[in-house]
Amino acid sequence: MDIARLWRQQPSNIRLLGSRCRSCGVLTFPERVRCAECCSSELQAYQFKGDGELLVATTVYEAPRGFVDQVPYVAGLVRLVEGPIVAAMITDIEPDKVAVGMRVEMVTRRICSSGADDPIVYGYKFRPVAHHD
Amino acid sequence: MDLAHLVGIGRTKAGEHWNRGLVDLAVEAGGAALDEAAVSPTAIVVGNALGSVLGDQRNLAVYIAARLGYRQAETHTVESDEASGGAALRMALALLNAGFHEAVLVIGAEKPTDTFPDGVEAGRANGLDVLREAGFGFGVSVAAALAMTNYINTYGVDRSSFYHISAHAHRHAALNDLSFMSWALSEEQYAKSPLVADPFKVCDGAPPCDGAAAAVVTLKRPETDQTVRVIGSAGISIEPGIWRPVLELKLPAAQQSASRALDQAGLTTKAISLFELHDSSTIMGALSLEAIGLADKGQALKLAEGDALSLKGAHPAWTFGGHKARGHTLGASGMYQIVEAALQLRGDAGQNQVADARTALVQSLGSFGSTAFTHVLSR
Amino acid sequence: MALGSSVGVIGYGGYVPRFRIDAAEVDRVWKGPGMRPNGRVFKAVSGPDEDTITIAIQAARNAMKMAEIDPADIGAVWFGTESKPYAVKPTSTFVADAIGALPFSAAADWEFACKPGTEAMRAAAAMVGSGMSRYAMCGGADTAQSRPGDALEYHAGAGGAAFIMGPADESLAVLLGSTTYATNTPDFFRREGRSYPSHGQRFTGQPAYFHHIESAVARLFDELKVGPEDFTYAIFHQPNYQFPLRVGKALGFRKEQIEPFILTNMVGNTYSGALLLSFAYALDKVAPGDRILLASYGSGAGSDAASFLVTDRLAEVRSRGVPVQYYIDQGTPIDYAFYARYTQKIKLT
Repeated sequence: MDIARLWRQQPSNIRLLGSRCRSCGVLTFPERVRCAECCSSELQAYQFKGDGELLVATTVYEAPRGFVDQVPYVAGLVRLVEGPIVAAMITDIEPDKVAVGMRVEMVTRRICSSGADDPIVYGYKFRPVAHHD
Repeated sequence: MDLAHLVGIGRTKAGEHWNRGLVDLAVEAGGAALDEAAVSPTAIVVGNALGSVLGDQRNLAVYIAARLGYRQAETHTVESDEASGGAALRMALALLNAGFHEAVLVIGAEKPTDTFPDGVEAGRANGLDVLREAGFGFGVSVAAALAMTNYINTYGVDRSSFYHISAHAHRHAALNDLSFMSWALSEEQYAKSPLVADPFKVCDGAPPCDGAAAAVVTLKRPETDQTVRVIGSAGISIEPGIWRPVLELKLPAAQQSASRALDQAGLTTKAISLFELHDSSTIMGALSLEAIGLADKGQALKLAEGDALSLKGAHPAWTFGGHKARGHTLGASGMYQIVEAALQLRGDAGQNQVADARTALVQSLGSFGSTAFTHVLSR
Repeated sequence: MALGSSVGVIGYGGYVPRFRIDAAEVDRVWKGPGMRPNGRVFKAVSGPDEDTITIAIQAARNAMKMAEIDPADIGAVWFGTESKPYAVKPTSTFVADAIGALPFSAAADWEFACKPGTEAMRAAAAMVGSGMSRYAMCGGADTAQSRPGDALEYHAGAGGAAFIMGPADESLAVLLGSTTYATNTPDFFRREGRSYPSHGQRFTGQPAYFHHIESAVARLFDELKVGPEDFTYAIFHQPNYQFPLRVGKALGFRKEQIEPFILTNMVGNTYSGALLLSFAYALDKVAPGDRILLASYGSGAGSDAASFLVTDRLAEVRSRGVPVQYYIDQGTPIDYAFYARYTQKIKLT
């Protein structure tokens, strides 16, 4: 991963930062420079909470290059409580325990790295919500 | 209205061409198309999806033109992910109909087998959202697996029934000498094929392979009787993202581009003799059948199980084996479909011939259905 | 040195990865039966997508959940570790970024074998006590390294904890005083570029662990004019189950003051994370009015000792966090093969 490219993605990758349109109020993840709903360029940074619901998931056995060392991994679509849908890996769970509709929360994990002389890509994954009393 | 006439076609076998490079394949197919045509194109449009991603030639069309003996020509290299073949043809139609050229050579070419499969999968994944999908471990097989999962849950179909889409394609590929997987696929083979991403099996995916297909298109009707006309053409892209096909089980770009191309041709699907759709996976094949209205929602697998899609059926589809069994030449697949449809309309399809084929609908999709090009051909 | 009880902990969070390996499984592969440590020992193993940075981030997020403060008020984020994913490039900038504390926050990594967390805690307390910032975060995290087959491998675990220091009147536990004691003792080290640490075997005991902790705690007793009977609980660095009990006994503590918060048999020795993780685990369970002695140990060598008084506020805020017990209960057993895979002991390139 190119260093500048990675750096530019960090706010969304690590903090789940998106955009809120000042004009129409629509929330987008990740950040945008122009609202796709109303075309306004008056956007402000919006911090997503990281809570969501798992909509659909699969367990991956044959991965694209860069992710082969993580198989088998669970990949799914998560709807954030604020609305946007995020494609992400689901971690901290055995594949056979994954259930659609499960409440999940964002965690920061290692996503991939292209080599020992390249930066490590950290980013969001989701895990079952930490239940407690 | 005739948008163009196909006056020469050519294609290589789809498969593993260890002794041929990307340009070689394109030259082979392009040369065959030129040999058939009585005209000399002055422009060359090449559709290719992964060449530059996999480390191959950029500005590909220039190098192909030179190898075909052109001292000069207008060249374009078109990349629209797996829809590159359809996009290249549409670009050629634009050049003709703008009056810029009288004849254009269109080539689709792809050479993925030099790269190991995980690299090809990563290259294909870059046709999805590179930051938010490919960058997080999602490839086209992962997306297809998610769509299959939701299809199974939504419509209550058995996961094994996706076999019918693959089996259907293999039956036609078995008759086609130029196909990559020219054998019948048994239910047992399908069931035993390894999981790529649950429930997507190896046999649910169209195998990426090498190949090139080409056509010479002209605006003027040729002197000969043997002409294939392009009478409808539409290209549409919608907001990308795997979530829409996965969650909504719809391909709006496929649906709308088919509808526009048919409108332009003044036809409905009922009047179409055969269909070449984008079966990059069993689920994409199923969703495509539903998008163009051949099957109701959730009914595509049942349709494939019967013989409606066979050469003698009501709606012959994937007549040379489709991407699934002819082989998925990615950015070239759209041009394979065009060449195969042209062979049908010329009556040159041999064992794969659909009797009295008069019209064909050809659809090429990219970025998991976000981009669609549809062409309607007629004899 | 006492800060006049002006500073304390206003939020904390622990984190332990979910995988566990049984020490008996390590034994099975390396030594054969009969050599295993006393009692059952499970140690936490980080998953294939985890490292010290991700562990520290999760602990810090859990601390922020409890503290409910504006991250912009945090003037320092200081994590200690001996398993930095980047040899050069701070772990702490990732943590500070993740909780939103940047850009006006100090962010550096601390290294003192297993005790940089308390070193950072003393500095954070000084930062707050001196008025340089309203809050300061400190913590320790490790994916503890151990040579395959070495005695360390039975315990070297993975985990970490984060603490937010702030004004005493917002604190759930007030810092009553702390001391430090350090010498130049080469009992355990890892040289640049090496994958696994080396250690002096029995030399790591009396002249190292015991001497330093006993010296630091004795000095704390002197300065605060207290003794073992003044503490409800004592938490010592725990490279194994026996050492904290033995050092406590030598200092005059009863087993009951020490044993409840020894985690080594459940998550292993999480090196830089160990003492602070046990402190977090203790704070999940103690009651207002309890006094807690904390004594770290870092090879090389030194010990920090501190005395905390738990306030009524603990009961109000701790339910906002995620208890360490939650992560302990998530334990998923793996065999040595998966352990070797997840800890990169199998070289793929």
